[in-house]
Amino acid sequence: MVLPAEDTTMSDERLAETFVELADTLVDDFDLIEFWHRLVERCAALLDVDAAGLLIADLHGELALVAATSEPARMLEQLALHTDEGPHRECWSTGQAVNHPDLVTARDRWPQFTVAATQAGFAAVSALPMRLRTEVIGTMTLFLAAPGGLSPHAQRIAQALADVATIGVLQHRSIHHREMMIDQLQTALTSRVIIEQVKGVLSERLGIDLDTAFTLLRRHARHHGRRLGDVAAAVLDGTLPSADLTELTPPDPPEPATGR
Amino acid sequence: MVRSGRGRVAKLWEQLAAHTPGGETPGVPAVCRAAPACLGVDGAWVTVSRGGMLREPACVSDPRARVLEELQVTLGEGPCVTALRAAAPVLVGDLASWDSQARWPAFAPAAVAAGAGAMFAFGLHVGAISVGVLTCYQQRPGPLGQQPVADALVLADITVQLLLDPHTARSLGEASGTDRATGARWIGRAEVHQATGMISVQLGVGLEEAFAQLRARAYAEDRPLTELAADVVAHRLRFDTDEPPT
Repeated sequence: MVLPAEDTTMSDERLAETFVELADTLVDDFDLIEFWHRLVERCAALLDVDAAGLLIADLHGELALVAATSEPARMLEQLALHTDEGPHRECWSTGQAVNHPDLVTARDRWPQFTVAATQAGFAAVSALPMRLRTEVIGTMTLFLAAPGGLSPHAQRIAQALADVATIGVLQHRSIHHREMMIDQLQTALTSRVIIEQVKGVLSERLGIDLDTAFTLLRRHARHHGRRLGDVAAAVLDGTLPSADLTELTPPDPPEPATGR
Repeated sequence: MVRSGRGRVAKLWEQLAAHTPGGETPGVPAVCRAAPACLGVDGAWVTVSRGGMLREPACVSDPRARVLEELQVTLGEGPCVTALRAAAPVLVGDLASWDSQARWPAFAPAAVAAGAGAMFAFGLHVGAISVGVLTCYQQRPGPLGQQPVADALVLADITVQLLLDPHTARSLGEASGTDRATGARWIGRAEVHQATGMISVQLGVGLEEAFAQLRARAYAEDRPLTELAADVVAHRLRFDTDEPPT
């Protein structure tokens, strides 16, 4: 979890590659949901954390999971929805980073969260605010399987990545006004629902699990330079046969900067 | 502030209750009655859609709103019709502008003639399912401020719940934070949407119908929608067999 000192050169390279890759993604009309997914994956790999998730606040004042590394996504979702406590919530309401390097001592602080996170195999947690001027629009939450927490160096990188996640919202179609940002976040939350519906359709139609369904959607979107939401909509209206999604059987091209 | 969201929701429910006759629980009609006070507009209406088409009005706030609602259905265009298929709201600060007149050549002049200067339409969506549109108008041209836009988006969300799941929606209105955490607010729940997709394939129907079936079953069995959805996602329950749920 902590970047070893002798690895500095290597991780600097990986760090640079990650930021270049993310910056390259921020072109006109890019796909915000795909961008967020890529960002949490890179973040997990770069900082060697075991799970990462982005939670965005909707207008109801509820945190919604918009992107996560695959396995613990479900747990993160439950945490976000079922509990009014936890590092993500504390970080969101205070606007400050929250680090708890050893969950053994967190039971008084977040009773429900700690039980759930421990059961899921996590020992340490960090939550970084996604700050936009005076507002906090969400949090990036990182989970580690071993106690110890992030080094100060890793924490700075994590915050930089959380800032990039926020910039993604701003960059999208040059947002100048607050209401446009509301639109943007709302649209992202709506297309997230469409994606969940399509994951269900594909998993049933193709007899695959939901994670695999999502991987197929992402891969098709990436190969064809389309947005996830558009690919999902095309599956629903029948213009994109499900079989087309499974045709790309060769594995993904090697991805830069994952380190995993 | 986004962080004040829970306060916003509570405030809107109070307004809905204040615009509901004594002894009754707020329903969709209260949305139209409360919209002017909540959003600072002159009137509002909710149109229900089925099969991707706008059908009948669920409520109108005043006679002008009724005229505007009829115009949109008759002419088949306008901000409300656009909003039915748009993920983002359609905010038109000036219906008489060249842009508006070019975008809706039949509706925009007719709406101006009927006394509307500005119109703001919010699609009522559950992902790819569209259940209708909440539209507000102002007699004078002018933008809708950022707070009213945020309020309107939440009001649209409440309207979706009232249209689809009035029972839960009402309990939500009375709910505290803890009750909300038990999962009554299904709109943000991934498993509900995943289950809808799975059921649509199991039954060979569209998402709209699949979601209706899921809701009907939850209602008939008096179980939370989220719980039933979790069973579908975990393959403990299918909709294409007659087996009772485990």
